[in-house]
Amino acid sequence: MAETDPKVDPLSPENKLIMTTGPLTGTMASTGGRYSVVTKGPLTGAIACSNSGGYFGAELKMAGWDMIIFEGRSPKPVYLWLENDKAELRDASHLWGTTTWHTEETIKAAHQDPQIRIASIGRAGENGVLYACVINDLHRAAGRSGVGAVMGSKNLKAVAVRGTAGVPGIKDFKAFLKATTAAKKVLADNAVTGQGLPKFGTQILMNVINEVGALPTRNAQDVQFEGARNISAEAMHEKRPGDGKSNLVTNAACFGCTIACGRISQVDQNHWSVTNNPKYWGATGGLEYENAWSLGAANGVDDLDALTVANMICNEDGMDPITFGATVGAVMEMYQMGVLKKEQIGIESPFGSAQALIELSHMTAEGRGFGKEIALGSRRLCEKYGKPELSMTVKSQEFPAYDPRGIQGMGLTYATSNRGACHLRSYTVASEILGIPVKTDPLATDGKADLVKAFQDATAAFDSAGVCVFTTFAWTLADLAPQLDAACEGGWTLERLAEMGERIWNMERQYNLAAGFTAKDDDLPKRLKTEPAKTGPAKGRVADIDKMLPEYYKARGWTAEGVPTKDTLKRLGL
Amino acid sequence: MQKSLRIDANKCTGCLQCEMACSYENHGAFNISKSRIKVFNFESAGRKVPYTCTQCAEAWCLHACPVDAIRIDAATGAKVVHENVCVGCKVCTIACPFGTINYVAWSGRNSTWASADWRRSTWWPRRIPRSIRSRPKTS
Ligand code: SF4
Ligand code: SF4
Ligand code: SF4
Repeated sequence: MAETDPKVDPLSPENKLIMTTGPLTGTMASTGGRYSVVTKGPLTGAIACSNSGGYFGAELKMAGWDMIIFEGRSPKPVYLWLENDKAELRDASHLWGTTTWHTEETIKAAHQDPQIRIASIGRAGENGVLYACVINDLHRAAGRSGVGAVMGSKNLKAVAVRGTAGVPGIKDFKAFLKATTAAKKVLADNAVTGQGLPKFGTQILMNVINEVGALPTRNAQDVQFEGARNISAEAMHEKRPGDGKSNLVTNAACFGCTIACGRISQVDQNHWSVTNNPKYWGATGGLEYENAWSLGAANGVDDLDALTVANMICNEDGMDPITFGATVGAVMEMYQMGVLKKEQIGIESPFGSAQALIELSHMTAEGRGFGKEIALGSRRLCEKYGKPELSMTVKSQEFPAYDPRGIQGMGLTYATSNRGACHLRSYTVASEILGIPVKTDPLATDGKADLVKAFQDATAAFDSAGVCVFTTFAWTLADLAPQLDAACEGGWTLERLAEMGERIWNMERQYNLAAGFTAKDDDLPKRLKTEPAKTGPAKGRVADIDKMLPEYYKARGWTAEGVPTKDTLKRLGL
Repeated sequence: MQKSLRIDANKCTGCLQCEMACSYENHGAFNISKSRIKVFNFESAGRKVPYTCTQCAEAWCLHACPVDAIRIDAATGAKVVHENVCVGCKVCTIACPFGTINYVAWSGRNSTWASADWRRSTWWPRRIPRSIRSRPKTS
């Protein structure tokens, strides 16, 4: 973080882009294949830190690299070729203007090596879509805050790695194998990580969250979606009438992962959205819960195959489906109000139109027509058309698939997340809905400040270790600590990890404060605070952020203005 | 007693834990490029398939090798590639009917071919064995 000036323009050469692995990346620790992309985010103007699985991170580590820092801007399109300790920037003019899928295939063919792992941007990243992601292994994404647009601004098309050096330097191999084996057993024995996630993926949540009345629907006008069942995990398992096959082909794992939540899906070749497009006929990454929500419920669309195709387009050209889908939701609401007309958008766009969703996906991915405006994200788009209140964002980033009116802790999570609204930094849904590690009342606000702080600090530790946040359904820091301690020097105890997590959180906060954010930016969209939930268990409730926020600042040891106090910084050694 | 591995490829998720374990057992390192097991990804079919040497009774690779680098270990009866004899001609990879003999790059693909090891493929495409292709996945 000391690397860049917090005031820097995210898309200028002065911003830096960091790809980094964790200490457990590339080891036998379960889910130890993750890497993060860190930069100043163009969507938010805040610190961005997007985490991805697949195989790329482990390959980077096996080539001997812990971290890559990209500075400046290349005069022409290039890709970085890493073969163990050899690093070379190569011409990528022939790849510019093409998709991530094409880029991966072309680079592998050029090097005659299918084992190369690649992280690349699609046309969205090149065109400066503010929520472009970095895609690795065809359908794994460092997804949020627009890290792909920063990569594009540097004229960096891809990073291709071949690592055959291995991961040396495990402190105590024997203790490490013992600790990782024990931790794998914890994952296997747990109902969520051992059964739920492999069978249903994150999509297991669709019906659950709909039932508790926390599924933001039609740009968060409703909290329950009548079509939820049609786009749920259960629906993905069912045979469709068209070709008699199910949407879901199989589950799949990221490197080293013994959970295997990944969805591999295939759509009906006769579905109207792909009949003329054979490239979408094969099996590829399918719907996660967040994407099924953002492309589906947020727009009132319940056509499972259409959502799967929209998701493929997002992967193919590297766009964050959460922000993209939620922005389409805002467009549809403005269309409904008559603020936007068919002539402006290029297609009739009422809520529920799968045709509009697919067409707008193509337009945005390719940088055509109204797609150029959707590329701005909903905050800028809604302001442009005079309806700022229709943007469902915090710090300019769209919140994901949990409505804070029905799950209060998520309201505080969104408001205080350092990278803008996000569920992955403090997944209080685990506690408030699933009862992990302890059940709390989703409609209560008491105790949520401490809960959110504890989740944020622990998650920061998990993310930086190089393991997947989904392990936290079963693991606590007490499961992580022995694995880290056997791998690295430094005496990694549970307490030390929690403190490290808190330190990370405060450092990110300081970066954002220096970038110009204030307590005013720790707020939720007005709709969530003033328009009560219309149906479900949370009926009549709004998000009580104003009550929780002061408690949270206090729990963090921050002033009433949300600034870390001298004592807090001193305690954390900052 | 001789033992054999029974692999149910339909259950494979592609996590590569087996490759990691194999490299650790044989080389004491976390390095999938040194694994004797190789998990292949058939992307558009949505299949991951772990390949290991099947140790055929009538080993075609052994007969194909021009320099007798593949020999039967007297103690175990296993067919073993002797890396120091192998000259890197790749004839065995063509001879193997299952595509389980693979060329590896980790000892230096562009320099010392003669010391190349043979268990990791850099060649593609590869077909899914018919037995696996036709079976529906149960999970
Ligand atoms: S739980 Fe899912 S996302 Fe996490 S590492 Fe495993 S397969 Fe990847
Ligand atoms: S065969 Fe290997 S890659 Fe496949 S699931 Fe088992 S350990 Fe993972
Ligand atoms: S590659 Fe080596 S083991 Fe295979 S046939 Fe040629 S010399 Fe023999």
